[in-house]
Amino acid sequence: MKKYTFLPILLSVGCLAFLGGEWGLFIYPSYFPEPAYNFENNPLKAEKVALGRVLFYDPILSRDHSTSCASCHSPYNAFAHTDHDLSHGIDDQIGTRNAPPLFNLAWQKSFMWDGAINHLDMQALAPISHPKEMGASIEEVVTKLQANTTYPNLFAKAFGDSIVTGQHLLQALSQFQLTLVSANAKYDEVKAGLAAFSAQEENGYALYQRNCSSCHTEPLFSSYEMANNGLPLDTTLNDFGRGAITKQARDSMEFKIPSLRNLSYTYPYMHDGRFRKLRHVVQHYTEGIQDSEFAATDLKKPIHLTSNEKADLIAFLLTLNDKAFVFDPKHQFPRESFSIEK
Amino acid sequence: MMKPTLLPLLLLMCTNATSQSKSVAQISFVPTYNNTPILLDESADEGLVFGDLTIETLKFYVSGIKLYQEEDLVFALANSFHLLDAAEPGSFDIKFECPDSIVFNYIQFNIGIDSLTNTSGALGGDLDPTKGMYWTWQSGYINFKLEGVADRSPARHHRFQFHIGGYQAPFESVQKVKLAVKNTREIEIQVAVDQWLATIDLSETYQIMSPNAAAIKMAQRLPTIYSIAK
Repeated sequence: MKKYTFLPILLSVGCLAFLGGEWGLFIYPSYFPEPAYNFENNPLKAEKVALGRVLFYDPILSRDHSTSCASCHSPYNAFAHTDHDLSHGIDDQIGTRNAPPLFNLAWQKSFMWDGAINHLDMQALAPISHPKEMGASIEEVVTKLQANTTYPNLFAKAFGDSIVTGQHLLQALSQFQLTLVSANAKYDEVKAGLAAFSAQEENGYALYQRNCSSCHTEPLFSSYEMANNGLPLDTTLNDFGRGAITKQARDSMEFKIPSLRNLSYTYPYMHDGRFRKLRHVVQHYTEGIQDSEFAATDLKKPIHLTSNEKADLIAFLLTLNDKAFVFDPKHQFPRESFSIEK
Repeated sequence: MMKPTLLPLLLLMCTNATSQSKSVAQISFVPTYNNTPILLDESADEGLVFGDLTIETLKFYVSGIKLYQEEDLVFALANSFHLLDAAEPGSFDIKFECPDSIVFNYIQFNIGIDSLTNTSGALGGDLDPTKGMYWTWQSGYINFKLEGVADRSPARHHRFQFHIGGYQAPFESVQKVKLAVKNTREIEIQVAVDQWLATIDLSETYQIMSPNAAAIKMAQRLPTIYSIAK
């Protein structure tokens, strides 16, 4: 890939740069919908994004300084954790869900596979406190950051106050994550008129539109709603997803619909990482759906695909890989900041 | 979008600015157990013992304080979110500037945090998630927290823990309280924690820490324990 920037796409389709923040920190193509995140309460500022990035990569957020956000959300995996079906946290513990990729978070209204978190700002509380993820608490982290020789300074630059608070810590983490916009895949180039699909990709696109697009809606390739996609229960986990949160039977086995962008970087798939290959995922939708009272209505009608059609569909899905996003240096480990004392 | 909503706000600010005389008013909450105040400051490091029951933690939110003359709203506290913590006795006195001209006969407030605030992202001050009143595995404030030890609790170390919260239907736990009150600038509200515990059997109900049907039942019993102190 030659272009590691949105520029060609933005020039050809027009762009929106954000309203509530400093110019250039949050840019997305005009065919994206309005973000769900309320930037008015947390307007983007370069120093806040920079602080959030340092925090994201710093294991100081975990109890024993071993595990950072990036431990399970690696930039090279579109901020997921390739090869791990279930997330791997502090003290070599294994969790119960697959670490989801992090991109286009500004368009999402709920977080985690069960949608238990209602706002991006509050999401980090869950992994920080989970005994199998970072094993700390927000109170403990704030105290450690305050006692650190560098962080009070970074908080002062970002928020005009060297006193570290839970609010500022969480807002800074949001700021960095909001800048993780993935909109530079071949699909986006085609949208911008800068590239064309091959015949096979074109056919795959039509198959996607017919069979997948009601849940994996363009251009984010997810509606980010919750759905029961007919997976049989894994009885070693007994994970009922949304149902365990709402205590409502109709929500049982519902999980948040993931985006189809960046699939090559984010395997294995599903909330428990049960499928290692894309063809296993496609096979699930054509042959593996377990019908139940509350299964997604769009899946009630069987999906039939020939083996050629399956290959075409996968060829289209690969046009949603955003290599420029995955290798964007401004999202990566902030080497320059990591003389920070631990 | 912004302009039409701003205009009345500005007018309101202007009328407020035309020097009304104001003085400091105070609303004090006094949590009690069998009419004994619950103070968990340094003198009660190990908790406060009431017979076979010890209270170790008592924290709750009061929000949206408003004063009414019958049905008419006459005063609303701005940014009214208050975390009251028995370990910090000062937190039980809410002071504010109140116009002298205001006459009222009811006070209204919420026990807990409304759903809009619950979904507004990271907030500061008393709403900062470092205050031990925000859940981590699921979004939402804990509205009312009571922890301690009771002989009759079958839990480990005979502990009981009530973290009452939840903002989403059908488990919306915030409670509105409206109490008749004299037109005074010093209002004292008693919170009879013993009466709340008297509604349950601690040998059966001793641990509620998520938004569910049991939490809602407990939340709905909260308003009755708030009363104007004689």
